[in-house]
Amino acid sequence: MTLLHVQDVSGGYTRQPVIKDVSFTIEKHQLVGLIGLNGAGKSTTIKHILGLLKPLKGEILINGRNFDADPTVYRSSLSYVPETPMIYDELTLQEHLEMTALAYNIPENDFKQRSEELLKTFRLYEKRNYFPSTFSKGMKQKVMIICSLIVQPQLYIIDEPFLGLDPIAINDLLEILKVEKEKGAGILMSTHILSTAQIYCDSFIILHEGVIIAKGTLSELQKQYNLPNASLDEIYIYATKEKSI
Amino acid sequence: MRTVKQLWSSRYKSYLKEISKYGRYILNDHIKFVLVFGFGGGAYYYQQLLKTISLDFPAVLFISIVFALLVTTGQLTTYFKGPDLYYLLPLEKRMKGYFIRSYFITFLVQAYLLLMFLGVIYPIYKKFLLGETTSFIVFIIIIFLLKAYHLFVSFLHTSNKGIVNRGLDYCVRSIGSFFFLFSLLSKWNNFIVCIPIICLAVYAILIQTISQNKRVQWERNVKLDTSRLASFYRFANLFTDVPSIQQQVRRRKWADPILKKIKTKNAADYLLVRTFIRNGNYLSMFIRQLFVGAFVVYLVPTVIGKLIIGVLFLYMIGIQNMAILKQYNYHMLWKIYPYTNDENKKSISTLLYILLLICSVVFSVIVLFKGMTALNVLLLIIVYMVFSVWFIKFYVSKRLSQSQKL
Repeated sequence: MTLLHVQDVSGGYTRQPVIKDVSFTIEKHQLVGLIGLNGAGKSTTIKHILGLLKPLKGEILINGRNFDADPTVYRSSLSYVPETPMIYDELTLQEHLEMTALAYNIPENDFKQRSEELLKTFRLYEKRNYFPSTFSKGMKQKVMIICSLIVQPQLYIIDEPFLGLDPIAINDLLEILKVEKEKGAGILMSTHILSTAQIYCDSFIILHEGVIIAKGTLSELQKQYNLPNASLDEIYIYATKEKSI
Repeated sequence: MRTVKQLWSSRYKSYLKEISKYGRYILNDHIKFVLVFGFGGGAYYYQQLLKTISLDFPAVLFISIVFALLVTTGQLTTYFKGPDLYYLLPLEKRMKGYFIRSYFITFLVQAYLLLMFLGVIYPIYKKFLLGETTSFIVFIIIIFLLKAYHLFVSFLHTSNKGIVNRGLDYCVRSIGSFFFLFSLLSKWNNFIVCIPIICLAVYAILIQTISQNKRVQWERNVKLDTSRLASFYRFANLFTDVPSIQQQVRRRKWADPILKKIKTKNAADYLLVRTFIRNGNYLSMFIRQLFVGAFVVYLVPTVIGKLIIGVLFLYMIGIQNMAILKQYNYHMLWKIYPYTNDENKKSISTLLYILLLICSVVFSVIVLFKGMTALNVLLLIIVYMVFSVWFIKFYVSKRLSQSQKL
């Protein structure tokens, strides 16, 4: 069964839709890159998938169920890394993880082992009793990533994860995502770092002014634009230029 | 904004604007009413006290300590804002005029406050015949000069840090001022009076020499000013909603064992307990309100008065703590957790039940010390509790469901 099914979704913050007739799917074992300029509608698309915005039109299904059928089931099948880190001012790093575990009903033993592992991987183990509100942007971002990874959901929604992250952490994140993918997770990742996306993503969705202008694997995109051997960067620039003319 | 002078005046104006904007809410008619009565009552009691005060009262010691502390405390207000840390750096060399203006305005404000204290102390000064050696006018001038001195040292600290520890600095200056005032008012030999003056002068010169050519401590100054404004906002927030209020969060390590003991079944409870303890708006505020409430209930005569005041305080404490998770209304992670928002409401209600129960008991038991009958105490506790239950069951749950629809 398709993990995430976005069907003809139009929506936004007001009656005026920001995204128009957006359709795509994500299967298990698939890492999909969502790319687009600033203000193209990536974060709006993500908010609709998260269930924070209600589509004006169309439907979003996770495992064949929509949000309203059972919000709790819908929500527990995904976890999210926000673009700007969202910190609870009153909680320490360790408590951020504990609260996530409580919210997603993660069994105690799993949680202990996994949280320690992740904290060590991202080199935050020593900082676990501090308030993340005092951390740097990159460290806050790591906290968000750990909180999301600890849930081990079927679907990861990751919004621009690389900004502020150090190179080692970027690498670690990508490796972990690879493992999660092999285990069966589906991942939707929005990013501007196209060279990295080209290497790690299985397929791409190019969003431009709220509309999907192209989607598919790299070779499919190359074929569509008649640009054999072009990099994702080149295809992307070509595609957006073509649209704005 | 071309010059540093214009920068200063625009900052000063915006500061005044903020103060007057919220000042209007704070000084509303009810508060004015309370203040007038408070001042009247206070003045009356003070007069009675002066009539009966014995001449053994160590007035010199008392005045010396109070004014030594009053002149030492208080720091230069610079009206810096957070981003100045980056934007004003290139101006650092030209900031002298800015600081001088800040110095004068801070001095004027503090002198005004000192004048009020001086006015209060005048009857004591007169009664104990301290004016025989130092006339009161001279005393006022001396106090102002001392204030100017301390503000100058505080100004020196804006451009150096770590040379002297802050606590040590306060100690040296307040002890010096104390000895000066004490020896002056005790009519000691002029020579002895000079010693603390010389010490203070040497101290200031020492600090100045060390701090010469040191860089302005932007981070420290900005922090001082923002926290000063923040405490004003927090105060104003008791009367009205202040949007720019910054949450002050404290680690409170001592509470960690307690937090571990509290079993929380869901994320809402978990976050709520920690927010309540660590956020500056809740636990410390609750304790303050509890004490003030108990004190006022104790003071107010008649059972009816106690009932009304107690209920008012319960209402205030309830309102204050009702908003506890409001700050997370726009927190995306909080919004996407897989559970229903009903749990938030339940957690908040539980917290309110506990808090209002504590208050009801304290407000009623305190009355026992005033020799009220057990029957009256029972009446108080019942009314307080009935009010609490009504407040939480109807008022709070209605307000919370409203805010969730937004």
